[in-house]
Amino acid sequence: MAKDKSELDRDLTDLPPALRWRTWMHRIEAVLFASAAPVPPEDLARVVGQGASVDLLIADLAADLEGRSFEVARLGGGWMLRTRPAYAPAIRAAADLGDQQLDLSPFDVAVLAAIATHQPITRDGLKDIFGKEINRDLIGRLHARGLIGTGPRSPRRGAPYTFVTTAQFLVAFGLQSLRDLPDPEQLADAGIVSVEAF
Amino acid sequence: MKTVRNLQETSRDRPPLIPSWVTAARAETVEDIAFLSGAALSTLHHVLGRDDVPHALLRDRLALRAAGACVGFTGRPERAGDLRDAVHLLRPGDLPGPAGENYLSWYRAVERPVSVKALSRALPADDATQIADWLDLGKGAPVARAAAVLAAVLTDRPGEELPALILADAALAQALGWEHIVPLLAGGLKRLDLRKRDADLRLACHRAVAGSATEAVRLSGDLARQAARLDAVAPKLRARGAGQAVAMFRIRDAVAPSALPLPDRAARRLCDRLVALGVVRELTGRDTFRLYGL
Repeated sequence: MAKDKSELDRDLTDLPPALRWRTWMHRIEAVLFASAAPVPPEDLARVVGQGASVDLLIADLAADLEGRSFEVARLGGGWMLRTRPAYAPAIRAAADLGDQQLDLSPFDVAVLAAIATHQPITRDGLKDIFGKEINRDLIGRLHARGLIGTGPRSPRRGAPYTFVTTAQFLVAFGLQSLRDLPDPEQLADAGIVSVEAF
Repeated sequence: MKTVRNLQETSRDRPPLIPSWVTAARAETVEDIAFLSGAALSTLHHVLGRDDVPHALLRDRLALRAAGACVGFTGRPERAGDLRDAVHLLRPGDLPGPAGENYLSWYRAVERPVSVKALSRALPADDATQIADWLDLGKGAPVARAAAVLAAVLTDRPGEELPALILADAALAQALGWEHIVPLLAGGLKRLDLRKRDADLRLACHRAVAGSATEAVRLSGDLARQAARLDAVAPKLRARGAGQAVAMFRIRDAVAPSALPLPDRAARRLCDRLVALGVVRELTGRDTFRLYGL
């Protein structure tokens, strides 16, 4: 652990309990505000008192933020502050989002969805799904946006690497975990895909 | 009375077996199922105290099974073999993927003696205080405690089966005074069971434990025999580093030849020789990227 962190007074024993709790809440809020990626609970636990429940503090913080334009969200095993979806048009109108825009074509998203569902999957595997070669630029685009990463090697000739989705993928699409992807069985029931595809 | 005497004679030099009245019984009521789960756990308890059982390997293999079940609960298509591949074919800096992460969590959970610290290492998405709170929840007999922890985590974290099942098995191990987690619940529960609560969930947990503990006892017996055979041939292996290789086979579910402390060719030759001697199996059925284990 870094030395400068040891100076932080975690337990705040000189404060009355109610104020202590609020200070912890505000610390968590500040850490989340300052971070662009979800913060694992382990890290949050380091700014509050030993034995204080991060979950309860977050629950109180969430209650505090009721009615505001942003909320606490649990994404990919961590917590983050994000604006509520209702304000997306306003943000888009006012700000230059630049590289924050994902800017993916429908086919890019289709490939990303295939990777998410079938990961770990090789380029050959993707070719089998789409019936055509997936070009390297497309894969490169998904990589550059941090949505996919390289996974374990595939046990085939040449040990090609596989693609897997990243924590950033969950954040970008507002998923708590891969569980939130459409369930293959439900898709099959709805007649969108055939069962043999899985 | 002859059968009983025979049982006692054999039990001295071999790991105990699950009594046939446990495996043969077809229980339906709560009392009956709870009775069988207690009997199975008691036998497993004796097995876990024996020196001839390769404990780390047993836990690793049960962890793989549990991870496979967890992956199944999340609706992903990977099976145990894929999990093995994901972990053994992972290179530094690459991501393990959802199934690989699942297995790594289980592996880390069973690797070290059960403690809040070890568990928070296995479950980085939950902080230590929260984990300790969950583990303290359970009351009563071991299986009831495990069920209470399972229900609590699933209520606080809907849809996160992995921490729920790891912590439930941790509570079970703690309640039974076991040093390490022995994954039992995940492999025995069904997807629908995870939606149950209270008495229904306890019943499902008893059923799962009765089945998995029986299975674990059987597996321990197999592994103990195979480990003894491996030890018997070990002095015959003259390759440099063979001793270390044998030690690795004794503690791991699967070993890739490239992970052995031998040059590539020598490692592959040693694995082939161990297979020829009938003490190690090839686990994947592939010609390349093979994995070996007891």
